[in-house]
Amino acid sequence: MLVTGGALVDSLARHRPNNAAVETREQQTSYTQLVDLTCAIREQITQSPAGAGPIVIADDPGAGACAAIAAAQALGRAYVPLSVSHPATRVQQILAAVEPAVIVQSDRTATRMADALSGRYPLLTISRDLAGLSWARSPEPAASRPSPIGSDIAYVMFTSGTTGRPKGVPVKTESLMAYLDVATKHFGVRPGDRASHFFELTFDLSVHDIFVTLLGGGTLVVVPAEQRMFPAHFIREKEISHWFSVPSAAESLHRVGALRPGIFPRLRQTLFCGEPLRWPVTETWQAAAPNSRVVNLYGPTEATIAISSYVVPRRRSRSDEVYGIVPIGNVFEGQHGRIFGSPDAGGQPDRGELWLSGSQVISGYLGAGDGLDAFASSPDGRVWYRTGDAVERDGAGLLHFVGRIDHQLKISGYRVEPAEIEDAIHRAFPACRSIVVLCDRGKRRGLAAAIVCEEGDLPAATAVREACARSLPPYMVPAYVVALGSWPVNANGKIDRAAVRRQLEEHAAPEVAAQHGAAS
Amino acid sequence: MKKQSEHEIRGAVRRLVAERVDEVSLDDSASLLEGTNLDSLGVVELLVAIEEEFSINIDFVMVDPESLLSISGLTRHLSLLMDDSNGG
Repeated sequence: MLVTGGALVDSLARHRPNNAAVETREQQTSYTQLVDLTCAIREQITQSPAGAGPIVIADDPGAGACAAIAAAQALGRAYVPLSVSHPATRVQQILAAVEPAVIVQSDRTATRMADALSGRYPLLTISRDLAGLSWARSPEPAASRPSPIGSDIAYVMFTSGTTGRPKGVPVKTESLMAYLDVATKHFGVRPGDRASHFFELTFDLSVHDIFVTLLGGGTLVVVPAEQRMFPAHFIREKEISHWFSVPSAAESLHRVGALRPGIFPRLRQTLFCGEPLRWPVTETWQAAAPNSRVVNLYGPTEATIAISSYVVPRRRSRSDEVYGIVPIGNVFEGQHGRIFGSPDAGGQPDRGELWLSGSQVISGYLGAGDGLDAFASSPDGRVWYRTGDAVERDGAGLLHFVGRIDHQLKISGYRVEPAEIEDAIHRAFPACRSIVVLCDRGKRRGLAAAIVCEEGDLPAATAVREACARSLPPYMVPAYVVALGSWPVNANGKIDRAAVRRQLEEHAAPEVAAQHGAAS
Repeated sequence: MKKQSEHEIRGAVRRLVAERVDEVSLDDSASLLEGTNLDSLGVVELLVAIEEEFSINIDFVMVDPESLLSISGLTRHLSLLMDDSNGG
C-alpha cells in the first residue's frame, strides 16, 4: 500500500469526484474538494520558505485535517496532531520536541488555540468554508531549526510518559504501509460505505479511520465529541456501515440498556480496539447489529495502530469463559509476537509479557533518553518492543490479554501513567503525596487521586484538579480527589495501590474540602 | 409512578448532579461534561442513578444524547417522559 509522495493524493483523485469524502455536522466535502484543498496546502508550503520539518495539525477532525494530513504525506513529511482540548503547556512541549516546519490550523480552532500556538512557528489557517488559505504567521527564510524527525516518519503521536512529560512515538511510513496492507485487505471500506471517524487525531486509531476510509473511497463521518459516549442515535441517523471505536462506547450503551436487538441493521463491520472487550457487551452488540461482523483489534501505538485481531464468532467457545474478555487473537502475518515469561507467572510458558517485533514496530521513542527499557534486542539483532501487557496463549493458539505488568491505566482507550499525574500534583503541592487509581465500582467511577499530606493544609479538590489541568490533557485530570489519613501498605512496606483503590471504591471517604454543600 | 412537577424534577436532578459534580454553581444549561470533573464513567453512573430515582428508562437510541447532557435537558426530557406515562 503506497501512501508516500503523491500516491495518496492520486488515490483520492481516482475516486468518484462527487462522492462525499468527509462529513461533519457542519459540512460535506467531496473527493474533488478534498483533493483541491490538499494540493492547495501542499503548494502553500512548497512555495514558502518554510523548513523541512514535520507538519503539525491543530484542528478538529474533519476535511481540513484530512487534507493537511494528505498534504504532509504528499510532501514526504511527518504529521503531528494536536488536540484543541490540551493545555498550552503540553502543546508547547510537543512543539519544542518536534520543531515543526508549519502548523496548520482552521479558523474554527484558531481562537481556542491562540495561546498554545503562540511563538515562532509558521501558522497556516484554513478558512471555515475550506476555500481559502492564509498565513497567520508567515514562514521566514532561514528561521527554522532542524527537526529531529526524519523524512522516513509518517506521524508522531504523544502518549502519557512516566517521566512527567509526554512521550513521542514516531511511526515510520514503512510501518504505516505495512498496517494499511493488512487493514485495507481485511477491514477495508468501499465507495458507498459510511465509516465512522470516532477517534481524536491525537489517538493513533484515527489514522485507521482516515487512511482506510479515504483510500477505499468511502465517506468518513466525523462523530462529534458529544455523541461519543452514547453513539446509538448517531449510528442510526448517519446510516453508518463501518463502526470503529473503543469498547467504552459500547459499554455505556450496554449499561443504559440501549443495545436492543436489531437497532443497527445497516452496520456491516464493527471494530473495537484500545481496551479489553468484555463478552456481555460484545454479545449484545452482535444482537444489536445482526448484519455486522465484530472484530477485536489489539495493538499499542508503538506497533502502529493494531497488530493482532480476532474475528468474534457468533457463539463464544468454552475456552472464552476462562478469561471473561474477548481474545486479542493472532498477531498479523509477517509481524512477530513472543511471550516473555517472568518468575511471577509461575513458570507457565504460555503466560507472560507480550513482546512485539516486525515492520510495524518502532525502534525507539523521540527523546533520546525516553523509555529505553521498553526495547530489547534478541541475539539475532531483532529489536523487540516490550508492551507491558500480560497475555496468555490458549490451547487454540489465541492470545488473551490478562492485565498490565505495571501501573498503566486506560481511560476510554487513552493510556495514562499514574506517575505523570502524581508528579503534576506533587509539583503543585510539594508537601503532599498522591496515588492515582481508576475506580470502576461504587458511586465514584473514574480516575481518582488519593492524597496524604505530611504537613500543612490539604489542598481543595478543585485546586488539585486545576493544577493537573494546567499541564495534563482533560482525560488525565482526576475526577475525584480524596484525602487519606495514611497509606495502606503491603507486606513489603510498599504502598498498596490495589488497597488504595478498594478504599476509594468501598468507603465513600469525603472529597477534600467538601464542595457539595454549596450546590443546591 | 408519582406525578412530579417540573420544579420537583429539576430539584431532584440538581441534587443527583451535585452529589457527583463539585463545581459550586453549575449552570442548568451548561454541559455536564465540559469543565466539570465528570468523565464518561461518571456520566453513565449519573444517568443510571436518574433512571432509578424516577423509575423510568431513557431511550438512548431514539433521543439525541446531546440534549440530555445538561440539567435543563434532563429536566425537560424527564418531564416529557413522566407526562407520557401519566397519560398526558
